[in-house]
Amino acid sequence: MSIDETKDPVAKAHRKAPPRSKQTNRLIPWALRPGNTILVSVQEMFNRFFTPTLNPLYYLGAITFLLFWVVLASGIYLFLFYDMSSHGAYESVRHITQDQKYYGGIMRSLHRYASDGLVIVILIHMAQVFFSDRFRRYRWVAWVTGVVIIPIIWFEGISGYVLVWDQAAQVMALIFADILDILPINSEPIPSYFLTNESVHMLFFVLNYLHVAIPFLLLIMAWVHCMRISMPLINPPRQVTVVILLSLLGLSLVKPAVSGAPADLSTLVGQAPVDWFFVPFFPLVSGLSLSPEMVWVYGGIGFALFTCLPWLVPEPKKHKQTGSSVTQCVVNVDLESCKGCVLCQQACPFEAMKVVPRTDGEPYEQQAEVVPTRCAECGFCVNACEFNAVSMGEWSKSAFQDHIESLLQPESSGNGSSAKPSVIVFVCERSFDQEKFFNPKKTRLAHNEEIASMTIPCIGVVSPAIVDYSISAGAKGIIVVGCRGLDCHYREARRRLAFTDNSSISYRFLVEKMDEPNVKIMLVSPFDVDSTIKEIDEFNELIKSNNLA
Amino acid sequence: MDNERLSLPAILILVAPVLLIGFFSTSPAYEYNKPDDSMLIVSFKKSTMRLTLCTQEELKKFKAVAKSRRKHMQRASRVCGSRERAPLALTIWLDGKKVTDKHIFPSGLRNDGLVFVYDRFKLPKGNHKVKINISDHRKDGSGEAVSFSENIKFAEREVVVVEYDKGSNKLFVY
Ligand code: HEM
Ligand code: SF4
Ligand code: SF4
Repeated sequence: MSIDETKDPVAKAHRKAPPRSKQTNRLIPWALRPGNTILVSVQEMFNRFFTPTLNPLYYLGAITFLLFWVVLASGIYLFLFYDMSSHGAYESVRHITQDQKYYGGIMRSLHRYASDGLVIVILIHMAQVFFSDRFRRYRWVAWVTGVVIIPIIWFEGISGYVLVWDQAAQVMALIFADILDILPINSEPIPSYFLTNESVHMLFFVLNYLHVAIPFLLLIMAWVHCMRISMPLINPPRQVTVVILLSLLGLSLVKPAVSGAPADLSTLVGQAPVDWFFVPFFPLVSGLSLSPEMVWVYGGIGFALFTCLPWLVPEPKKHKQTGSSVTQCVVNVDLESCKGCVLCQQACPFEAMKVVPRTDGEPYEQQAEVVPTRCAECGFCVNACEFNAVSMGEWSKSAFQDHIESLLQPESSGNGSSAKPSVIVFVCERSFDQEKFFNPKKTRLAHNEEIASMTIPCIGVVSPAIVDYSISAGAKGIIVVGCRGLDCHYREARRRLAFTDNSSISYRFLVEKMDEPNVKIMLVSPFDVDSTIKEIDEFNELIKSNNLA
Repeated sequence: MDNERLSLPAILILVAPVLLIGFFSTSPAYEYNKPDDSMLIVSFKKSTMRLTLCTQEELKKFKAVAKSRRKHMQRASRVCGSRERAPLALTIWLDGKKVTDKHIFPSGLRNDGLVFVYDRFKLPKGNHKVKINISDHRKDGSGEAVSFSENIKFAEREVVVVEYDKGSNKLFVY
């Protein structure tokens, strides 16, 4: 994935940091709004330091994958030299760490530190998809698999520490055994497997095997996780990758992961290191202020609550539409017009548009079919179809075109003047509240009458063909206002980046039009009120002066 | 994108979590047990007696027909009584103070398996008098009882395990 900055609207549209002003996104459920405001502010702060194209907060899923690969690769290396028996384990880990000079020690340290990093990044990833309202409805599969992944990763962490079979492993094994013992899975008390140095084999073995096998389960889970996301972004930008890898390597050199004294079940462990990312509550369990039963109670409630969150958060009240944007309707394919060309499928960000064998005897091999439960009602397919076969409630390509024409009529400017608007602004309903800018009574635009605006579900519906249509209908300039950086709610910006080198995709992206002088793509955050107005005014002036010239 | 450079603050932001990892992956350490602590673990499995046994008459009758039966059918339990076994009554005293007094039921859906005992007690190091009584708790009081009483010296952080030996039918320090 190599992207030329000069051709990338994301990079180009964000040179300067905008001044702040308060704005809440009304499409976000009220329960998430405070968190969403904080999230967007933090993203904005990061945008300033990283630029939006390199902002790691837009690549958290990808960074999780990166760390997972590091854990997997280093783990396979360690496994080659590891002795699975409880008698040989400690010595084999010592051998890897000390006898192999630097190399084995680094692998071991990377394995530990990347796992810890995984915990941090997963938690931020989770908070981000939650507070940006990207976990409900058509995204529930990603959320629920994500929630299931958490205890699995937790188990991997604990079993990994037990493998070392040092003093820390000994306490962890015993506390974990106490916790497991609550489950009615085994008639023999589980802690009794860790009774004496001789009796330890069996559970130790089981934990070993699971620790090695589960990463492959995790791979399958990660695949399911991304199953309904077309072209998921799984590689962070190269610079970010390099810095993360180098800093993990640096940490491994400065503070290599080492074992404590070997485990000895005939004595109690005194002081031992704690990995606060994996087992922050183990000291509590050990000190008896948290009983193993309560670990299950809290864990169970937490798990159930998190799993059900997509259905617990109340839907936002429907956005009071100011333009002609109509969302929340069902997408419909008109088979009479459909030629089975797959454009709509390529355009769909959520794998909701399928192309299936023809059922109606028309002389085409395939036809499009929408899976309503996966559909985000983003409208991309409506505009992707060159045969006007897809509609979304009242939103169809011809309705869109009609609306563009009506916008360019003099009276539509709204303040009673008869000037004909020369610039059309397409505003993504999630980027900012168009009422604030274009309502004649509230507007702060210098020449509102010259600017016609329209709310759209996402800038992904503005295809190059729509830009051409608007120009031929009489518009002198086109502004498309979308969301910041890679933060498109429907993942349009992400897929566009992923598609840059993919010439086999025939679906056309708006990015083609960005170098044309009469087209401006602005990617703004909800905080960008003043600078957005200023830029629109400036563009309008530019178009006017070009026309006069 | 590839020709964009990360600024110094950006690099520092990326490195910061790695520093956190460096610290919190091991520190602050936690003292799970004080030097004075030691531990007694009572852990064993034992097969208790059946709750009901065959009467003499039932046994006689059984022996009469046994010869005509296949081997695996030649067990009294198939003919009379239930398979259910007695719970184990466990009482533990430490330095004369009763710390456990409970009945542990045999495993298995029909309570016909082994009784598993696992109990542990943190104690200050030093000498402690440990007394343990176990008995099969049958309603008619006819179960077998085993008693253990010993003065045990617990060294610093020592874990002492008391087990049960089936052969000698005794509790002993492992
Ligand atoms: C091993 C752990 C995980 C990995 C490797 C991972 C990776 C990813 C990736 C690559 C994406 C696609 C990003 C994109 O291109 O838009 C994604 C999306 C998502 N993840 Fe995860 N994730 C993990 C854990 C979690 C967890 C724990 C949760 C929450 C409980 C979660 C919730 C989500 C949701 C809801 C989405 C959809 C977001 C969207 O469509 O924009 N993930 N994840
Ligand atoms: S883009 Fe239009 S014609 Fe092509 S498959 Fe989809 S609905 Fe049919
Ligand atoms: S509106 Fe069309 S493109 Fe968007 S999710 Fe639904 S089917 Fe896919």
